Amino acid sequence: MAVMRVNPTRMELTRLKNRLQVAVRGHKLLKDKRDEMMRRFIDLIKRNKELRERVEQKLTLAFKDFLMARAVMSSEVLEEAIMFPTRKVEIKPSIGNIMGVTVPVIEYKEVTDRELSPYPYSFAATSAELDGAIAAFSDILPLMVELAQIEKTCQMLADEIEKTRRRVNALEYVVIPQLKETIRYITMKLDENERGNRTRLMKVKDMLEKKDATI
Amino acid sequence: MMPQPSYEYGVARVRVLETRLLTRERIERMVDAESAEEALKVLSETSYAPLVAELSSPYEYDELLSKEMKRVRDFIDEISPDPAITELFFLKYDFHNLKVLLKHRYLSGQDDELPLARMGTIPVEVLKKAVEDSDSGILPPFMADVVKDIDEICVLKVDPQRIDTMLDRAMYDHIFEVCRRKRNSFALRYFQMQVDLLNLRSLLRAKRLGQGFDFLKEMLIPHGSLSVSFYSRAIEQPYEQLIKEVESTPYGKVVAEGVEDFLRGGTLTAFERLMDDYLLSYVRSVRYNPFGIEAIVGYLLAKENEIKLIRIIMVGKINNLPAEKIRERLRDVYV
Repeated sequence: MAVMRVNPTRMELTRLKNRLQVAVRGHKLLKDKRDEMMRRFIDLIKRNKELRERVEQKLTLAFKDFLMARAVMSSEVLEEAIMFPTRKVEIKPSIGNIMGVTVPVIEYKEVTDRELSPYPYSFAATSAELDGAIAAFSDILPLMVELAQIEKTCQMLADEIEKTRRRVNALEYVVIPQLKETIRYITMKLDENERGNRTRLMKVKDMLEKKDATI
Repeated sequence: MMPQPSYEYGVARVRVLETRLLTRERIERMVDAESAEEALKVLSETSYAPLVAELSSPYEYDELLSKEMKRVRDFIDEISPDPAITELFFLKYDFHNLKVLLKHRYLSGQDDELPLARMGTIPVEVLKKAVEDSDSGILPPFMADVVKDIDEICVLKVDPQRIDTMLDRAMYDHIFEVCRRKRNSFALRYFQMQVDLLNLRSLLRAKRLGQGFDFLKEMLIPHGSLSVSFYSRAIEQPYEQLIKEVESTPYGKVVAEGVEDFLRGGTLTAFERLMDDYLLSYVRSVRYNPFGIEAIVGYLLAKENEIKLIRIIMVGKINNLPAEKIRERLRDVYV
C-alpha cells in the first residue's frame, strides 16, 4: 500500500491519526447503513417479484380475453365500445424516504362515479368476451401503479446500495490501510530521527568527555 | 343490361353468388394453416383473390374485410327489390356512427381518426354535421328524436352506457316499426329472434358479472318475445331453472348448450357461437322462397358471417392461437 506524500512531522501524524479515527467510524456507520438498506431492499424486491409475476400473469389473461373480443367484433365496434371510459383514477405522486434515499410514493385513488356502470357500452352491440377483459384490466390497474412505485424504489435503493458499498470498500480497502501505513511510516521516521538524535548526542557527549580528559 | 330491381332478378343473382361463399372445408383449411400467410393463401383461391392480391401483409386483413363488406353492401343496394327492408340490416352502422360521434362530442377530444363505419344508410358526413352542429333536422326523425333525448339527458351527466343503450333501443324501435309497416314477417321474425337472443345474452352477462335486475333492465331491448318479468325472475334464479324456463321456447337448445358450456368453462363463447348459428340457420331454412327478400338478406347475412369467420381465423393466426381455440369460436357456414 502506497504511503501518502506527507511531511513526516508530528503535526501531520496527529492529523492523520484523527483522520483514521474518522474513517474507521465512518466505515462502521456506512457498513451499518448498507446492511440495513440490504435488508429493506430484500423485502422490497420480494414484494416486487411477487407483484410483477401477478401483474404479468393477469395481464396475459386479460390480453387473451381482449384478443378474443377483438376476434369476434369488428375493430370499429370494439373501439367505439371503449372510447368513453367511465372509470377515473387519480394518481398523486409524492416523495418518501428510505434510509435517506428519496423514493417515489404514488397514491392511487379511484374517483369513479358510482352511478355509472364500469362497462361503458351496451350489451346488445358488444361481445361477452369483452366483459372479462374489461373487468380484468380494471383489476390490474391498482396493482400496476403499486408495481411502478415499488420497482422504481428498488432501482433507486439498488443504486444507493451500490454507492454505499463502493464507499465502504473504498474506506475498508484503500483509505484506512493507507492511513495506517502512513501513520506507521511517520512514526518510524520520527523514531528514526529520535534515534539519530540520541546517537548524535551520545557521540557529542563522548567527544566532550574525551576533550575534558585531555585537558 | 340495367339490373332489374325485381325479386326474381335479385334471387337469381344471389343464387349464383351463393356458390362462391366459402365452404366449410375451406374454412377448415384456413384454421389448419401454419401461419397467417398460409391462411391468406387459402383465401386467395376463392373469390377473395383480387383483394388478397392487394394486401402487402396479412396484418391488413381488416382492410380486406371492410372492402369486401362494402362490396356486398353496394351489391345488395343494387339488386334489392325492397330497399326499405334491406336497409334495416345496415342501420347498425348508422347507429354505430352515431354512438361514436356523440361520445366523441362529449369527450370533446381532438379530431383524431374516429372509428366510423362507412356502410350505413346515411353518409358519415351528414351524421357528423348533424351531431357537431346539433342540427338534428337533417336526420330522419327516428334518429333525430333519440339524439335530442340523449342531448337532454347528457346535459346533467354523460353516461356512455346510456348513450349506447338508448341508441340500440331507438334502432330496434325503428326496425320493428318498419317491419310491421311493411308487413314483412320474415324480417320481423328474424329481428325478434335476434333481440331475444341478445337479451338472453345480456341476461347471462349480467348474471356472470353479478349484477342485479336494475343493471339488466337498462340493457334489455323491447320487442322480444320473452317478457320483462321473465328476465327479472331469471336474473335471481339459478341457471338450471333458467334452462327449464326457456325449454319450451325456440331458444331452449341454444340456452341449454350455451349455459352448460358456460358453467364448465366460465365463458360465453359457446353461447355466442350458438346464437349466431341459430340466426343463420333460420335464414338458411327460409332462403328458398324465390319471390321474397329472404334469399337476398340470407346472402348478406351469410357474407357477414363469413367475414366474421375470416376475422376470427386471421386474429387467431396472427396471434398464434392454437387451432382448437379458433375452432371454439367458429360459426357455421351458410351453404
